[in-house]
Amino acid sequence: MEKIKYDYRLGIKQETRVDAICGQLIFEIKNNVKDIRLFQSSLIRLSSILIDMPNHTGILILDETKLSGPRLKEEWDNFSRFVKPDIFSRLKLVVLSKYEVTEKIGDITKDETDIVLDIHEKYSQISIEKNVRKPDAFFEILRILIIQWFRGNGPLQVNKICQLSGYSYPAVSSALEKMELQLRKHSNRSVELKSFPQDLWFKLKAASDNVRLPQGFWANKPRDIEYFKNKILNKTNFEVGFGGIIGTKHYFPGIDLLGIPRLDLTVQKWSNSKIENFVKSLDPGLKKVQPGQLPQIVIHNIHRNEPLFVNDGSMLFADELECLLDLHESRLEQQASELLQFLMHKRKNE
Amino acid sequence: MNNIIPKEVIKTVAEAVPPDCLENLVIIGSLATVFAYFGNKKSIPVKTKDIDCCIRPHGVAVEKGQAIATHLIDTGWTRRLLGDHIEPGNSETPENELPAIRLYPPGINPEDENAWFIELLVEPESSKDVGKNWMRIIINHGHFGIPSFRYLSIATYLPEKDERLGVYYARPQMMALANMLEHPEIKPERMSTLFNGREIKRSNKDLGRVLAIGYLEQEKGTPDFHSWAQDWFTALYFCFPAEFNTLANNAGSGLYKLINSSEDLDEAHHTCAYGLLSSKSVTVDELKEAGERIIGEAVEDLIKLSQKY
Repeated sequence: MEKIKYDYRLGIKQETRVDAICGQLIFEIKNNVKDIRLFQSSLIRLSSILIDMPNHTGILILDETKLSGPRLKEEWDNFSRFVKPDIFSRLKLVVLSKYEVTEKIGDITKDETDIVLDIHEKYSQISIEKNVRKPDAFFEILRILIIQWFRGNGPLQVNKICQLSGYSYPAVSSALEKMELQLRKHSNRSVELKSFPQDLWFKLKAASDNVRLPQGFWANKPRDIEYFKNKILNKTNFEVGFGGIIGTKHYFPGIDLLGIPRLDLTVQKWSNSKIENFVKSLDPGLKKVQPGQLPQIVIHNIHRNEPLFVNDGSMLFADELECLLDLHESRLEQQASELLQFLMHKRKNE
Repeated sequence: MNNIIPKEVIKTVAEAVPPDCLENLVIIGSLATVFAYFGNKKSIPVKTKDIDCCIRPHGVAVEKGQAIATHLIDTGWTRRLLGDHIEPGNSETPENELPAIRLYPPGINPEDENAWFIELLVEPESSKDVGKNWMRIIINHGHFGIPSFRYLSIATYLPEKDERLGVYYARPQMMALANMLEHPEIKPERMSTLFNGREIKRSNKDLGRVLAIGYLEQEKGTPDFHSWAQDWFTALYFCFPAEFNTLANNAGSGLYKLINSSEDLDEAHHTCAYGLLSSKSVTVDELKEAGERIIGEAVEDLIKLSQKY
């Protein structure tokens, strides 16, 4: 397969840009199209490009459109009456919903479908980067340093912190300045925490809800947590870290915790639709919690560049700090305190 | 609505039907559903009055239908004299005007609030049969009709057998699929009689049955509905080889419409709360959730499976 080029400037008049190009295929992608006029104008734009590029085919991708399949087909047929057959025969349409192709018009091959899915994934990612509010750099960098400290991994170079967190060098430097008193600095521009930063930890805990933005889900007739766990382990296309009680038991097997009232899961840079798709694949009966309802599944979406999951060979676990925050969020204060003491004690003994 | 003990009723039917016909009879409908989920419990009552018994396969239906009807009437079962066509027909009577075979067991007073009767049905002759068709049965008492519905063959596909009683009863998930196929949309036609004081659309009653089955399946402890898809696909593939793809694609459309219409869902809930789930205090939201799971797991998997063939 040829390489996909994104946001590509075509060498035709008016220096037109398209969302993607791959060989002789030109792609335009539109999200949440609710108005038929936007669909029409997208078809017109793509057709006008094809006039100047006679060897190319145009594929319009509609992601999560509100327009029904029959309505799109009707408009597609209408459009065929206004466009030259030579142009129209090179137009195709793919509709996606929940990361799957739900509708195709035109003869779309398997290879073309694969390219469409790649482009969709890429644009979903761009959309997340644009729309999701990144947590405060200070807290994100603090979290990375605490995890590093728990794991006894030694100092981190500032460049590495930039790489792990996804924040720029100035943002990281500024955050590090604010926690200067807690840091041990080394000559090679690397830093580490001197000890567990109690004061900053209290601040992080207090700001946790705003920093983490957890999404909770529940059902009237909840399914077993063990069922969900096994189902997630069988899913190879979703990278999910088990946090909460399951993660805690991984780090501290002797902790006094019986039963699992809720499942805390950590994911990295997922769009809301990907989260919803994942949750529905676990149980189509799950819905978002309303105030006052207790969630059975909570998704924590982290936005740093590296998830810092721990892999024990059979499953992924959210980092130690995520597990601690999950316990606090579940009002398991006593167990959270035990886990923290355990992790600190372990670190001292290393 | 009547309150009957399923196990007792099924035992009565099993003992009354000629032994050589039992292999050809499958109990379907609400009695079969309750028997499937509460078969071993004596105290669970079911609110129903008609016990639907489907004769299969179609090829032996005339012979077996005659044998069953003759034997039951000869042993004291009495005809239910209600409906449009009561009098036995003759050779001149068109099939669709023949009286159905509906029989009360001996000793039951039809006026009694707990009276129940069996009704004979038959599997359709071919997968191309559509709608309701009547098959003529001639016995000493005159001409009678046994109706068939298009998706009865799905309901009776690979039924369960109670070995002790020797009786076959339909698997709940197959009855659910038959109802879903019968109602790809919510049709406006209402049932001829009130359901516990309320007018109910036939589609809402039948699709409500699907939700009730889903609810009971969860109560039984089945973790999810994925396994239904394979059962459904096999039945569709064998019963409707030329159309299984289209049927699979449309199987969930009526149910989807039901759970997304609060008015229709409320009617469906009414039929469950005063019918199959009368002992369960089920809420509308719980039924909706069961529907979401059936669609999201069984129907979605069925569509994916059918696309492979």
